[in-house]
Amino acid sequence: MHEDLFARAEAGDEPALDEIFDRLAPRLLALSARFGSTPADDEQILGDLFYGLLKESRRFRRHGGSATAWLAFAVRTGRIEKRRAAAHLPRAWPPRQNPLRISLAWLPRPSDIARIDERRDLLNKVLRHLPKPQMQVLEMAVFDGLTESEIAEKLKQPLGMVAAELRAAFRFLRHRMSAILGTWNAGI
Amino acid sequence: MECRHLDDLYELYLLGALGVSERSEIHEHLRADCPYCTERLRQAALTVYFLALPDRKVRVPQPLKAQVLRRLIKK
Ligand SMILES: [Zn+2]
Repeated sequence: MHEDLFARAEAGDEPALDEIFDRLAPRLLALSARFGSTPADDEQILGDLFYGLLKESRRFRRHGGSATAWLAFAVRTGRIEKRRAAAHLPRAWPPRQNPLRISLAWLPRPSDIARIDERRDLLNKVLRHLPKPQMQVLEMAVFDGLTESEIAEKLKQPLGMVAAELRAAFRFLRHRMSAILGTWNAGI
Repeated sequence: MECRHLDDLYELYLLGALGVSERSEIHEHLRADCPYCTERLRQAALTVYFLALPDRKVRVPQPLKAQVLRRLIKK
């Protein structure tokens, strides 16, 4: 996805906005559906999201951050907080601690996001190598939006065990991803 | 800042899966523009992006698209 499209959309270029919408809206709705949104929510979700994108785009482009990544995080964060509120769980982040509000310097660069999208097949294969218990807790954290202690409670397992499984899963993914994606973490 | 003990926590932080004290610690580093944590979070964000954003697509009906874009342009 050409990130200069976002600069054009920000300046009010309607064809650019149109193109961004066509490329990203279908995946973003698939993401929000995984968090329990229904078609009745779609207009609100997309409206808020693209409004936020245009409002924030200057801010994250200043840091060289990917707009696609920003959108994905914005959808996920918004849906999680909705889902947690409906389940009477505390917020995942107090509003002022939401990582998207504090700083956008951590957003990945567009070239790295493009590389992930290009190599998804390979990355999906890597994912299949995760042991089942690790995959289970990973999915609960990623898609149910639960904290480590909520997962432990739900699975009736000790917190230490769940935390260890999650950390092991991410250590494994981190190493495989750095191998697959090349030198993006060089210099650390 | 001393940060290496946070190495295994960045993905969980971005997912909102940490307990309050670990979450607050990374929050403080991010707020202080800690270069080590910012770079680690950037890498962690790639993993979280890969996991969370599906390949799957939902069809967006044309009237919905028109409605969203019309409102956006008005704003
Ligand atoms: Zn730090």
